[in-house]
Amino acid sequence: MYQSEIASDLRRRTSDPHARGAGLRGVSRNVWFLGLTSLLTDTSSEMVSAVLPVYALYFLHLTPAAFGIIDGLQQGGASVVKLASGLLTDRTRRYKGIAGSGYLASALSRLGLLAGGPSSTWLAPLVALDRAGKGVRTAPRDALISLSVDRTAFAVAFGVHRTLDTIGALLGPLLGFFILRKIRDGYDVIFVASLALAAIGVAVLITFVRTPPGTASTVAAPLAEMWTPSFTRIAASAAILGMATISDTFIYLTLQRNLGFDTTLLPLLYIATPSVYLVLSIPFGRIADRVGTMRVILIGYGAMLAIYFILTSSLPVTIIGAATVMLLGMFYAATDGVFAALTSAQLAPERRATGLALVGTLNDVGRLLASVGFGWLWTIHGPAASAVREFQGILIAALALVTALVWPMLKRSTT
Amino acid sequence: MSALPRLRIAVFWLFVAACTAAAIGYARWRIAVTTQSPPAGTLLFNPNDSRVAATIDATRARPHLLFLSSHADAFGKIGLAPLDAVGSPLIFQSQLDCERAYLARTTGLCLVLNRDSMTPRAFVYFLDARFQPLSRLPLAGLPIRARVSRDEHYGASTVFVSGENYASEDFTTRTTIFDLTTRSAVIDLERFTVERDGKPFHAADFNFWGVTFRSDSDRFLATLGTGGKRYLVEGDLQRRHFRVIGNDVECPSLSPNDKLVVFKRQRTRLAGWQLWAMDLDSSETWPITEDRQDVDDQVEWLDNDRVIYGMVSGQGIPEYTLSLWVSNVRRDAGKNRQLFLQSASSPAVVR
Repeated sequence: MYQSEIASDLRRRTSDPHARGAGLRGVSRNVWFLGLTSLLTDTSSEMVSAVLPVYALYFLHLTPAAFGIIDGLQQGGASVVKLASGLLTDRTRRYKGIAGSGYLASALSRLGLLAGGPSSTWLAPLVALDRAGKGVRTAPRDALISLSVDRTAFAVAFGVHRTLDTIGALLGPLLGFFILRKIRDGYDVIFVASLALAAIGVAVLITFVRTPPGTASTVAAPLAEMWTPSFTRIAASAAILGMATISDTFIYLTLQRNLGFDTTLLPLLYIATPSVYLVLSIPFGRIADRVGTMRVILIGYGAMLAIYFILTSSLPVTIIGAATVMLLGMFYAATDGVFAALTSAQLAPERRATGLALVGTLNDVGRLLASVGFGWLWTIHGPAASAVREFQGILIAALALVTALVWPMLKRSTT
Repeated sequence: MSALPRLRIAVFWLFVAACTAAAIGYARWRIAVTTQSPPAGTLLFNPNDSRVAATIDATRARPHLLFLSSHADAFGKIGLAPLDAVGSPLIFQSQLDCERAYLARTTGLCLVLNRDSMTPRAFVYFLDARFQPLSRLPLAGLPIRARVSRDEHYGASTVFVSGENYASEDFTTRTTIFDLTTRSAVIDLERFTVERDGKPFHAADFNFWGVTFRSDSDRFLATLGTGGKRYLVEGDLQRRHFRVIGNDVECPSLSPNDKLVVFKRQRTRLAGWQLWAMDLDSSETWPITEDRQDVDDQVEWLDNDRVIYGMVSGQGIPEYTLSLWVSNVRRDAGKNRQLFLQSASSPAVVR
């Protein structure tokens, strides 16, 4: 494990190097500003995403099949872009520049929506540009977060960032629908507001976010010396756990089709889950810094396992719905930022962007395989509940395997 | 951070102020423009006025066309015209703006969407013969299709569900059958069993849309989409069962004599739509329009030879340039299309 902690050079606060869990005091201003950038950018993105189906299907009169392709672009991650951007970041050390270009790409896509007018021709390429921007900025931004705080505050720093990010994701739709309510067919006004927010987000990044000093050394081949035993274990864990995780979509589909959950309440689920996520992100980050990130991650996957059992239980459907929302929010709060913290702690600063992108991509690929597998099980078994039941076994096995893999880390609980 | 030059912070705040001012300025300008110049007045009739009601009843005693207006100032309002004088329709006042509708002789479905709110979103309204809402039910998605069976016993609605195609190349829909006598939902088509070549057929990504009822309304045709393919399926409402009867058929519509189906076909996922006809007895198919048209509609039969459908055309905002077009279906007619009625969509013909 790398003991050198370059971020400590940057530290302007006093902290006992032996203390674990610096808490919110350990979160530097850099992280808050990165979070603010994400908040603004996510508000900007989500206000467009929320009204996009209605804009495309009714205003532009796109056929559902054609919009389905755009919708797929929205949902799918840009994993390849993420990995390439991580490699480039570590080869050039241009954290701010590369993250900034990702934020800028999303802002430019809004400009395109405005310039294109009410036309569907450019919609798909512009949505792709926005998503590519998201893929480009993730790795350098997460690397910057880790470089901006002491390792005793990794998890809480990611928790702060994810909380601010999720606030943006919740504010965006509210603002979008508010504008539509005030201005009939006011899609152009939404695009202008979205562009302004995205531009301010880029300005916050440029003005206030600093690349921590002492991160000057570049590595020509970041992937080469990355595979230390502990990093390999984490990367394998990310892939294995991803493969045992049912996508949110399938969880909601199971709720609807199998349990007859009132489908008109579905939009509420999409609000409730991030709300729980945003409330729990910082507390779980603090706990992770204190008791060890891997332990909290395993608790998060325990929450996912609880969802699988609740979905196949005979409880009233409203209770199943409420419990699923709570547990899913908990799952994300205990895994997303915490996994980034765990990964950062295993990597030398000059390989973090690549490593974070790699672990993120492995998890994405695992989850994609899980979705394909779940769809296949659903197809051969019929009802979704039997597919969920299969995944109970898969997740228990994955948890056992991962626990064995990371046992040394769990015992030491330093990560 | 205190080392940050004051100038830099000043520039930042100046930029924030400029962005905010530009966005607010644009919104205010947009509100001013919208309120200053209302679009040219479309005359709307009150269906509750006794003379208007009498005209409705008289027109409805003859073969007539029902549709939705796509004039910007009467968008989604119901229109009515005798089939022999389609060019001079009446458009009616209503509290409802229908996104899609299908109106029959004594009843009708109007699908409404609250475009500016996340929830509650969409509803199906059950209408009477004078287009007055009787009751409504919530829908779980964005309305795209509506149909009523010929005996007006059953109705069908299809909605598009966003964000569910995570690991599938297809889009997600939900189609519900309604009993129009009790104005209640009967079943979602996703709950039907399906057979292909005599064997059970199922997959997680099954989607159904484009219901068209046979003369005996217990049976109907629809599209089944799965794994990027589209099948023509025949449904049996009593047995809650589908049978695959054709490939590469989307959004079918049965002719009044139940002999032909007109449907949409797409050469590639990004290409436009082409209307095709199929003889149900011989399974022969032939194209009736040119390729590359954006027909986002299920066609309606004008008579046993001609179909009408809504299609976007011309310049401007697409939803306000929707008009009805007519094509002759007969094999010897060749590829053809003519304007039928300007500024209209969701056609329904009552004979």
